[in-house]
Amino acid sequence: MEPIIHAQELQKFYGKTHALKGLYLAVKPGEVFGLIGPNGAGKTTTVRILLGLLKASGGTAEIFGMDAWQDAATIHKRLAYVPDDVRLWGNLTGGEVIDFLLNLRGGIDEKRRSHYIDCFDFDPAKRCRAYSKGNRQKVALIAALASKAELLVLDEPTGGLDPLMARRFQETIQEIKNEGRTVLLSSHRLADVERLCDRVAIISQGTIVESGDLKTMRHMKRNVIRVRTRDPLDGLQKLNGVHDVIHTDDEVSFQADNEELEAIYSFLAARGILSLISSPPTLEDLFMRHYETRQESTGAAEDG
Amino acid sequence: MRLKMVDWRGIRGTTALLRHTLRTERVRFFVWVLSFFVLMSVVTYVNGQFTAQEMKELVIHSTGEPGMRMLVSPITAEGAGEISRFVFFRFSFVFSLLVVLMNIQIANRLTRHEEETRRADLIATSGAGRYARLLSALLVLVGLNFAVALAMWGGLLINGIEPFGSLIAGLSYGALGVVFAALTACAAQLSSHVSGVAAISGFTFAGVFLINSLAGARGTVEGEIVNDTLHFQGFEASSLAYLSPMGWTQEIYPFDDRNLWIFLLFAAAFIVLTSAAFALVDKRDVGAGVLRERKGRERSGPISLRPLGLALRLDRGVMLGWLFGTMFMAFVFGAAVGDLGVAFEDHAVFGEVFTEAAEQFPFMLISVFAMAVPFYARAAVLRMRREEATGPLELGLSTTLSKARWLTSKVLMLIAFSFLCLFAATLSLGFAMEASLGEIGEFLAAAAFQGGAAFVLTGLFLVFLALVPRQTGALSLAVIILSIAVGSWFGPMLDLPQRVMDFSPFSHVAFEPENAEPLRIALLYGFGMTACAIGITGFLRRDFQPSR
Ligand SMILES: Nc1ncnc2c1ncn2[C@@H]1O[C@H](COP(=O)(O)OP(=O)(O)OP(=O)(O)O)[C@@H](O)[C@H]1O
Ligand SMILES: [Mg+2]
Repeated sequence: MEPIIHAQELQKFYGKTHALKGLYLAVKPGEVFGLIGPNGAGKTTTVRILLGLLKASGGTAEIFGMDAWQDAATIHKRLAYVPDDVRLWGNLTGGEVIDFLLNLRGGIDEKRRSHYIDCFDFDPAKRCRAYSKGNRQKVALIAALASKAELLVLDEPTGGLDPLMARRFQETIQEIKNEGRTVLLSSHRLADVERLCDRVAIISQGTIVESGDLKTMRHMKRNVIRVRTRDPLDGLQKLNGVHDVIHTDDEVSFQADNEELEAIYSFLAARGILSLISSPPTLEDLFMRHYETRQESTGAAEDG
Repeated sequence: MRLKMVDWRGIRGTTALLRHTLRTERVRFFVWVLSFFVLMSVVTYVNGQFTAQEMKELVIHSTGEPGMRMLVSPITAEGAGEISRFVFFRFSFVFSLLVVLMNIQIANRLTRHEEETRRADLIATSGAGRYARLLSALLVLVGLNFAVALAMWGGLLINGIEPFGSLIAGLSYGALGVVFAALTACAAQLSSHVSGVAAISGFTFAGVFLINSLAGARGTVEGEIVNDTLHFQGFEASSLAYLSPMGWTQEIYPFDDRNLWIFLLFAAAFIVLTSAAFALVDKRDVGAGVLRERKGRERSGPISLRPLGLALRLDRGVMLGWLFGTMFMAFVFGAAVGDLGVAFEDHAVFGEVFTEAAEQFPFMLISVFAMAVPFYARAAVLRMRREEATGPLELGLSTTLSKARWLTSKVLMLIAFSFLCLFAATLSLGFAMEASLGEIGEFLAAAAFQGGAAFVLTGLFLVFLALVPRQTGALSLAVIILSIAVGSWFGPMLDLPQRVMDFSPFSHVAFEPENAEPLRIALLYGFGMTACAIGITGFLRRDFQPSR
């Protein structure tokens, strides 16, 4: 199947800052694709290039097989976007903005419009400058969800939502998925990503460091192991493929690379296993690793 | 009557805020104060090159006609040949305008802007009292105006002007500034929006300015003719001047009568406005204004569903205000020119000079209308930039609205509206003067020619927006000030060499259309078009650049 979003070797410079360093991204029709990564990793930059707001310094970015910069207006007929930081026309009411955006996205569908307004418990009669951050985000979300767009691009859409609204958001994305629409979702809420996304890409310092099917990603890479042994586990830390060792009162937990499991298990067995639980890592476990490497490398850069 | 005890907790944190403001705004303050010093000293120095006789002639020349009296300040018979009085005679309205604009802008920035950007929330929750922000803002502004007064004093002193009179002159503008700072502080309690505050203060100032102009036009000029020589005996404004703080400044006569009691008027106005502002603080929430934000419509009307309709609707208020504002001003000036006739008209020698001046005057006014256009154009371009930097452009451009369509419709609207305003003001002037059709035709031609100069600046602003978006505000302001300062109005007043004056597009258009060179006008329009084209293509090629 042809990907709906296809970015290859994407480069972006802001003056001297090298924000994207050869990024690859392919989103298939009908899937919910998650984009996660630490602050400043390049998520918003990627999304803005895909929307034709920024011009890539190198590489290609295509949506629906068209060039993101050149054919932006055509592409936008079939797409809806919720920006990172939603800023609206202060003088207009939320309702007026929703109508305006829906009209430009192919017409207003009354049923959907009122469905999503109710769903997010939103008051459309207030002026935009009086809305809180979360309410501004709702305006953009409602205008995206209620549109007929085939592709939704959402950049941290839940940043300002309270927990109840964040739950509503999860439900609506489920609905969107059932309608067969495609979603690119950038988020820091790993719970959202974990529940909603078919595939994820982890982006760090302008490149994709990890990507794929969530289930396989978890199982292929690492396991989280919690173990109790008769003898102390000195030297565990030094084994290949062992990460994040934490000693608690009577238990040790750590992450183990799958390819090293055999060696690790025999090390444990030699010390008399009393109990052992091995589980696939959560997204958080996977994600934190990239967080930490970033901090190490920035630290090194500052030293040098 | 119940006396309310002062609650000192309300002003807790004032000094901390004061220090914070001085730290963050110091560059802005310094630039303003320095500008006043430079302006004052340069203007005094340059005008000091005139001989007493020349000054006297200029005074007579520009008070004979009521319309021209609207733009100058009263002057005594003895003062007419003295540089100290002469400078204020000619430049009082420029100084007043600058002082007031500075105060409106900075007071708005320190009060309502601070609240609207929600920085005030942080302060409100960090232990500062509810009056602390207002009090610290007012204290800062009083200090700033005092500094401006001293800067003007300094500018006069280095030109060897009498110290005590100069000090009073400086203080009279500082006092005017303080009143407008307090007025803006009041407006900031009323409206919940920066633009609302600017509108309230701006309109009040327009009224004050107008009253003062009328006081000048309806004032009296006395002269005695002995042996075919005119002995100028002073120009006094009518008592209307006492209704306008700008008039108060002018009625002080710092080098003659020294009406120091007028400072009491300033003090009274300041106290009334300040108390009103503090009283209003109690009547509202942090972040809100006393005037409630009305609930709006849940659904959009058919017009604002379309980008162009929406753009028109959003700018409607500004555009109507500008259009009717300029038409009204033009009408008032025109009526003054037409009705009140020319003083000394019957006099053989001077009659001719005055008739000539009176004939040129409408054309000079038209050039003033054209010089107002860049201010509108700048504001419009800055609105575009704001829509990009902190506004909804990102969301707008993610729809089928293309960058090209957004930009071209904005630019066309801007250019069309600038010319509309210019022609409307010109027509309004013509009708008020009861000019003949032929004359009106000439006026319109003059407007079309002067419009070319304004168009060049519009083009430049678009180039700034495209190439150096973050500096658009500062650069465009600098360009406006420079081209007016070295242009056909102030250039000759400042006695600038032609080479310098040529930098201003306004210097390339003669006031009267019959003296204008068609080639230069065509070049101006050509230059304007090229700049617009560069601006548009540059913008379409560059990245979307929000402020971060
Ligand atoms: N306009 C700009 N000028 C200069 N540098 C920029 C600009 N926009 C982004 N950057 C830099 O590019 C890098 C990527 O930023 P980007 O906003 O894409 O990150 P992000 O992944 O969206 O982060 P966050 O999670 O905080 O939203 C950062 O280092 C950022 O500082
Ligand atoms: Mg981001």
